[in-house]
Amino acid sequence: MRALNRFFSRLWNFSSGWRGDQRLREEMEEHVTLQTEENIRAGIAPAEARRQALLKFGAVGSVRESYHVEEGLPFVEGVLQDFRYAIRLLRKSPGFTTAAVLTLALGIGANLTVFLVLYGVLLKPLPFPGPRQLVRIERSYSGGTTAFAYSGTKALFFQRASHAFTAVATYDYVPSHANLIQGDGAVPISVLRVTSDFFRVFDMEPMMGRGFRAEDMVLNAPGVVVLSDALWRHQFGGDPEVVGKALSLGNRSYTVIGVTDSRFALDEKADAWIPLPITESPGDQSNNYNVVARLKSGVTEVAAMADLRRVLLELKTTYPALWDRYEGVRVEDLHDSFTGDLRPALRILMSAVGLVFLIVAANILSLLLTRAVSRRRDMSIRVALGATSWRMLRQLLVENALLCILGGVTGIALAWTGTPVLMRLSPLHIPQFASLGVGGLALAFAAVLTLGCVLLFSLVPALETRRTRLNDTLQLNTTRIAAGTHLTQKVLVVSEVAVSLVLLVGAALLLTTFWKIIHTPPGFATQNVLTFKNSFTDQQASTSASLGLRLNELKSRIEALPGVTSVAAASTLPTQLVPDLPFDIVGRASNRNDAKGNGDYIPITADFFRTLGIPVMAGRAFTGADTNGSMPVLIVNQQFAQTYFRNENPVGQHVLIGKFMGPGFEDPIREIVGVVGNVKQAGLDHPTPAIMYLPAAQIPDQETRMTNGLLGESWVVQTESAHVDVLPAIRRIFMENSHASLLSVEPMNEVISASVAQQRFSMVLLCGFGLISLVLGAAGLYGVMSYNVARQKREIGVRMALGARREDVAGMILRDAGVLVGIGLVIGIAASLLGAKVVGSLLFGVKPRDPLTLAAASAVLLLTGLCAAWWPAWRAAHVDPMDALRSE
Amino acid sequence: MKQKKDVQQGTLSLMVLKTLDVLGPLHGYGIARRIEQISRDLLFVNQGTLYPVLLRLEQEGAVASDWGPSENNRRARFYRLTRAGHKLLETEKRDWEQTTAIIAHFFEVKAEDLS
Repeated sequence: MRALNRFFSRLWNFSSGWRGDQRLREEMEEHVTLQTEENIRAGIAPAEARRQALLKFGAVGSVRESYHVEEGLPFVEGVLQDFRYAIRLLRKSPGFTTAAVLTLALGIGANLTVFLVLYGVLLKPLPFPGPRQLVRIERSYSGGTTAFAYSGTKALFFQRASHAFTAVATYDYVPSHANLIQGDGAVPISVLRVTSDFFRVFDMEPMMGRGFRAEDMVLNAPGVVVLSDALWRHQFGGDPEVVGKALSLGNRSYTVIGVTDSRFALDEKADAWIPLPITESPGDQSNNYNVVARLKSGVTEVAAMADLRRVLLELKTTYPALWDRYEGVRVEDLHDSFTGDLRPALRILMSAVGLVFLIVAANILSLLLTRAVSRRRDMSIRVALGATSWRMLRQLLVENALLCILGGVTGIALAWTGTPVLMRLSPLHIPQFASLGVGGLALAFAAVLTLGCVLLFSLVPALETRRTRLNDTLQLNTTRIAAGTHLTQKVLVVSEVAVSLVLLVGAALLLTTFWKIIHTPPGFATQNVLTFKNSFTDQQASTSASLGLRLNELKSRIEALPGVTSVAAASTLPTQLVPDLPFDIVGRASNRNDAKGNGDYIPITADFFRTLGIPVMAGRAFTGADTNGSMPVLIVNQQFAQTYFRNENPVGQHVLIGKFMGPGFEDPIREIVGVVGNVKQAGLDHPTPAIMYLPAAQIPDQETRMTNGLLGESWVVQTESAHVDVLPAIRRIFMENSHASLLSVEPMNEVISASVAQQRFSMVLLCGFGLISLVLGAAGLYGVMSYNVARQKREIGVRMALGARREDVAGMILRDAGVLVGIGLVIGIAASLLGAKVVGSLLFGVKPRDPLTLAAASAVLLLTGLCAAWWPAWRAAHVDPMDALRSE
Repeated sequence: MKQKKDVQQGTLSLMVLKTLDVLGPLHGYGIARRIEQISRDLLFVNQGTLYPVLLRLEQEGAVASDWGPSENNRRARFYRLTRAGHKLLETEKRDWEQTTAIIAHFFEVKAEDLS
């Protein structure tokens, strides 16, 4: 209690700036006067009396000092004094301060930004109750490959036959886009069709209203919709009475039954959820859904997987047609599954940004060491005057704390402004549930980084200082005592070079990857092709025949526009998602390996191949004559032909698509009439799948409705030149013909560009990091070499006086630099070779240990290093021997 | 000549507290004089060391101080014991008596008492 009182008084005195100095002086004066008078009364002469009084009082200075110590908080005052001194020092060398603070800010800011993304995406649990029990059910194949897209029938079967889950739900693999009609405006929104247990799986029933029930899932039940919190707020003004109201999606009417919790978010954005009316069907071999489930408590993923394997065997007897002996089942943690494809990229970014931080730290340490040398005399004098080593360390700690806090705060500001910008520019598919922001955790992360820097930057120079004996330092000239520090600095430069090389190699590999990807022939024309999407209402796309007629009509009206050379529609564009369907090759023994398979399923109109410049290798393309009433036909791509008709001519063969897929999908046997060139449908860096193209007018009606709902209709328009603006006219045509607005209007080369955006993003970031590391490494080398030259000035002077030529001197400096860079390169190459595996999963068309890339990166680094050393070398060569010899 | 002792801080504060307790409010010089008189001039090399001790006691809340007129009507700082100071004095006194009793007992003990 007393100690506390005392502390608060001291704190109060300290913070209010109260000083008892005046009071003490008065008290002391009074004390001495009283004593003097006493002495005089005792008969001592006045002058002597005062002298004796003073003697008796003791040393005024020491009393005042202990009084002052008692008064305030001497430690804090000392630290504050150190701070003031540190501020003066930093202000005295603005160049050093700016360089150090900016470098640190860059290092901390970049690390923080990447950490925020990493945390938001990978580390933070999903925003649902019991997130660990949420799993995704996936297909697995030998060799470890998995596929998310799952069969609806199997999911329903799991739901009733498995004992491992409390709920299983199925939802669209690809969200649909539909126009939300409000008044006379239409807002395109993304809609996800889900089965009745969907919200139950996530244990997050709508905040308002209700979730789905089994009766909502019946094929022709009245339409019901659950709105997302965001849609409800933005489009319905947060109307509290919205449940029960009717709205139109496309031309179909739905009743709002609920609004989700604002935290409800999956990996993909969805604005509304509607029922997915699927039933078990013995022939449904399509894989078009996501399947998610909640594990019963106590059931592990492994146990669930074992249970599903048992269920699959049951399925074999119930639906023999669905049994595929190559297909297994896998249960994966939902969070892992959502973020799986982001993991390698984020991990590499985090490692890269960590390496950048190492370089930043090495660079600043090098700067500080140089400074420490020039301050060594000053330090030694302090030690000689009695400063303890703790006192000296405290000084360093305070100075570096100031520097690092400046850097850290700037870095946080950088991350705070930079993260949203980065995310907006980033095409990395950041899942919806990831919320990014500079929160407490981020601040803690930055604080830890900053603190680490403070300790590192203080301890290394402190240890360096201790290595030299006090006497040496006081007696010798500063230029001679730097040898020890110099070694540390050399080590730092070598490490910087090594780390830079690793980053440069990574950057170069991604650059090569990107180059290879964008220079992969896509298999179709990308110039002067305009694309857009639209979706028709259920009535407009009720039958394939009517849709075919409508497409034809729109097509011929667009074709008639001036500047348009060719136009076609398809269910999907190249490089975009596409459903796949099973097929059987007619007339083949069913035990043959190539008797059946799965292929991408793309309904198209006539002229699709012509518009996109896809070559017809054999047979013919579709024409306007391939209608609903004509012979059922099919065109396959080369990949299909090579896989299933290795030694035969595919043209004239017959194929049955979606056998046993049940009512609504009864497709006639089709004749292959043509083979076309391969299109990189699954993305430029993926192998071309087997593709089946069908006339849009000929596909089953149920499929037309589903495809139209799922993907909309995609249009491609080839124009004479890029400058022809046919868009307003096309918009008018669609408005007049089907009251439809256009979505996702973009030129084909942007479609391609969007498909490689993720690779481009990783590449650009890593190149950025590589560049930063190169510049910092060069700056570090420059600093050390310059310092070296200054240190050796006398030696250089002697050499020149003895007849060394300028070239020799410059050569000597460059050789020194070359040795440092060389050692760094060797270490860096070794590290790159060891770490090559990390980046492997991101590469395309280049080996992780590509010797050419290694050589190129090394050459760039060596060249940069020599450039950085050139200026110090030049200065060394122009040392005036007389000047140098006299200067000491 | 008798050697003067500089008192330990803890002892000095106890003396200060006791002096204020017996004599009521006093200024610094008065306290120093009393302590010297009672200790028969054996204590204090430096009277000045009293002032940091007074400040410390004041910050702990054991004493309070105010300006007031000294004997010859000049301004002097008068210290007085607070309620907390009284309590502190009591406990310190008890501790001190206990300590001295124990030490005294040790000195009285002879070898035969222990056998």
